[in-house]
Amino acid sequence: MGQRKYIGELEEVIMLTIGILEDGAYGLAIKKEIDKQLSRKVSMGAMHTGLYRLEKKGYLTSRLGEATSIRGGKPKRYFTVTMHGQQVLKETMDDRKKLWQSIPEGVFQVDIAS
Amino acid sequence: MKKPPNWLYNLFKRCTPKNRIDLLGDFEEWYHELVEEKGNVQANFIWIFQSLTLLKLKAITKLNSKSHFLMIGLPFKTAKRNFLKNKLYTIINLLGLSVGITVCTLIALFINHELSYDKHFGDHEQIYRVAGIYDQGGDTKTTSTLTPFLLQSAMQNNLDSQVMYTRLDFLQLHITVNDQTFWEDYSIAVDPNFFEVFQITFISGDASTALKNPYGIVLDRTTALKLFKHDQVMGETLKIEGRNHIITGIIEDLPDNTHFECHAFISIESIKDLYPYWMTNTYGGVSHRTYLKVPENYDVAQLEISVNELIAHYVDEEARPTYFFQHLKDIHLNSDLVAEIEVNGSYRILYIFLATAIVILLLASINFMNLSVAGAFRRLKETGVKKVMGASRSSQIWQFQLEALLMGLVASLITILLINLSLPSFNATTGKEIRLDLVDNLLIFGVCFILLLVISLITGRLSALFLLKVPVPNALFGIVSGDRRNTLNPRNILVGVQFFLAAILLSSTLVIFRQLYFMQNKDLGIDTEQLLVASFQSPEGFENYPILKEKILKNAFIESVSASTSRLAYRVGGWRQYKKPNTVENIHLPTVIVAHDYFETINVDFVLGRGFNDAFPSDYTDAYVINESAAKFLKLEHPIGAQLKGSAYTGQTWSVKDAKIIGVVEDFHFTSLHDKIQPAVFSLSSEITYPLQWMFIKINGNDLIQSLEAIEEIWSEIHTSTPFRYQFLDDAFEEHYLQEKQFLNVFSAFAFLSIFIGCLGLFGLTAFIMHRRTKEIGIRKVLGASRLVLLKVLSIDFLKLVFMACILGTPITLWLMAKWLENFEYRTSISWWIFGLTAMGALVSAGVSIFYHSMKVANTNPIESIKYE
Repeated sequence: MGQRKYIGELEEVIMLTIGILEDGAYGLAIKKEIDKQLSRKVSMGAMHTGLYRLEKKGYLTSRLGEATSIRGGKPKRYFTVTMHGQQVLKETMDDRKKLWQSIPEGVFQVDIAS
Repeated sequence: MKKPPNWLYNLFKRCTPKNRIDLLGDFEEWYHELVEEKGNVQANFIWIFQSLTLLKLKAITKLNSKSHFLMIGLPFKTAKRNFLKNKLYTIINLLGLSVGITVCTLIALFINHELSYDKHFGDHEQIYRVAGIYDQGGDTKTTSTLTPFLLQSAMQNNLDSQVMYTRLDFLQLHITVNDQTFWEDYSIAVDPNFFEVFQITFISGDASTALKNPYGIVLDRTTALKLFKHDQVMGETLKIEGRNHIITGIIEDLPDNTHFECHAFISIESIKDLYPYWMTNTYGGVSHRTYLKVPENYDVAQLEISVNELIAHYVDEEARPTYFFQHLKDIHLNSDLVAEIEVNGSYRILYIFLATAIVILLLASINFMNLSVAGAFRRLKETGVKKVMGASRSSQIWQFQLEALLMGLVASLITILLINLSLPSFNATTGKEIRLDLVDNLLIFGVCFILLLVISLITGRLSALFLLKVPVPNALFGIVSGDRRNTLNPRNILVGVQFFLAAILLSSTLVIFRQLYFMQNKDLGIDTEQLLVASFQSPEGFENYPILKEKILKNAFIESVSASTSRLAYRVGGWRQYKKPNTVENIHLPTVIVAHDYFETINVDFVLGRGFNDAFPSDYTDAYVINESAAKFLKLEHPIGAQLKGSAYTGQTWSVKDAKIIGVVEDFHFTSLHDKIQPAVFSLSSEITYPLQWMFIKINGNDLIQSLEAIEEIWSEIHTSTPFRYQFLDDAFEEHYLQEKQFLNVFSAFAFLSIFIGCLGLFGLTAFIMHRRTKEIGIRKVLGASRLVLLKVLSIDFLKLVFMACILGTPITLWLMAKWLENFEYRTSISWWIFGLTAMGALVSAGVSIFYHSMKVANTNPIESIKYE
């Protein structure tokens, strides 16, 4: 298609979090991880909408996993980032890097190096 | 573990897409943790809040995964809402359409049934009936289905032997089984080859040999069951007129669509000796029906010529009949001869019904379209908004077509229900046994179904096209351009057409009714009430007549007793040759042999002279009585005393009866009003005349049952061989009007339905029109219009229309009914009050349908109506 795919900020966060969680990336775990890593409360709705859209775009895949009694016997849905999703993540990162590098010296007072 | 309360589950379910149990799992797991951490209340709040956040996901999922379904689902939903929103309109519309289609289907079934007559016989294309044209006196010749007994054997012996010739003699059998007697009114004596000509399915027995020998009898299954209570009756014996007959065959019941009804078949050979001499030995009288079956591709016209050449060898020129053949398929619908076996149908009636069916279909579809289009204008805003939102033209048209189609489907369901419900009473009125056989009538059902769909689709399209024509700004504000009060707008014209057709049907019904009433109530010239007719059954029976008469007359409630050779209501008399003095010309006149008191019993008045009287012994040999028509026909200026040279016949020997006319009776009807009164001669019964066959008893008094019992007792005392069977003469005359009666019943039902459909349409239509004129009414009311004035304003347009429709319908009815009446010898006139009544009926029913809505609008508070829109 050749066209660049853009992803939203929350979507980027979700995909990265799934990466962090390795094999344990299911809905609640992802939400908690975001909470833990970024101290950021994501609503179930926002997160699952994001997951749904990403999966629809082909950046994620999911499979139903084990059911525990604590979940009332309902299975977990585990997410993994597809190759395609990883490429998009990398592209996004590269874009940012490029932009940062293009900012002239002295414009931003913040110390970038740290 | 901690579980959330049920209502939280329910909330969750409402907020999440279906089939995402993993989501619920996440929620439960989290809830469990939250309860431990923060307590119940907060956990609940979080659940609620988090559930609500999922609504977006639900919406997105639905849009993505079910987008196609949504696009189909929406029009269905809109349609459903529309139907429910305008319940009254929906019901009226459905009812009108279903009733219309039901009537059409019924008529189609009826026509199909009529056309199917006798087609169930194998090789029915090759079967013909011989009919004869006889000079039976009077100015006109008589065309009859009856032929002489001898014709069949003459044809068989002299004509093409490839052709099968067979005779049918319809009679009533007096059957005795195990000392129980039954009358089988529908029986035939036939030649042995009958079952080869008419291929009838045998359950047991062999068609080719069943009646080979005399004293065999073939029964249909129903009769076998009736007589023996079981159908394994082959070889059983039963008695007919005291003679043993052996059952040699059981057949399937003949279907209703056969031009004759018959339950029992015996051989002519078994009863031949009971036939009178003239029947089996001369060509002078007609008694049997002759059928023939030709090979395939046979030249029937040639055979017809041969028959007429053949008959020339047997009958003198002046009395010679002309024979012709009727194809079997023509008998039921295209034959109205003297002595038809049953009341036949006719193409005329089929055409009338067909026309009516088309008219009613037209009414129903006009109604449906009219109402749908009118109803659609309520949805102007909807189409406007949809247009603004970018709905394509085709999707809008589809919306309307779909809705109409749904209506059509529902209507077809209702139609099926209605047909099922109305078929029994339809059968009862028409006297047919039409069954709902899907396979046989597949074409009819298919066509009706397709008609429904086509009507719906056209209607839907029309509604859509009308609405889409309205520019968006107008549509959004609900303004229909060009919809001023205009009597001649298309919708009103359609209502006019409906009432035009309904008026024609209604006034035609009135004419038919009047004709029937006329026929049933016209003074026949004789008094048929409490006059009963009984058959002597046999010449021996007649021998008991004098003693019978004497005994019966002893009862106080018997006014008078007499007898004759002809059964009144069915036949005038046998024809005889007469000569006026000093002329050579032979005149044929129907002649009735009567006993004393005949004219008194049937109560006919004398114009001149006197009747036969005991006091004048010479009456036996030297007296004729004639009717007025005969006096005119014979051109007798002074009939009394005029000499007539006639003849008398005992059934075996002819003798001359040269006698003078002693009286002239007023013309009276021998048969139904279908036939013209014929000139007739009455002659007193004596040794030289034919034995009398029919007894007439005039009962005087109120206790009919007692009288009948008394007569029956005397009869069985003297007339031991056969039981007393009788018929009242007024009933006998009534029987002749069965066809007209059925026709009237069906036709009036049609007329009523057409008015009903018209009114339904008007009712629905006014509802919408009133709706639109709400503001006008409000303003009128504020300005001081009274309710009466409002009613007038609201209804005058429609009433004018209906009135116009009635006026326009008048000449058409006049023309149609004049044509219909031409078929009757004695007919009523079409008077103006019929059209007055029609117009009144139409106006009243239209008025009533308009009234309801007019009143409703007229009664609303003007404040409501003015701020409306």
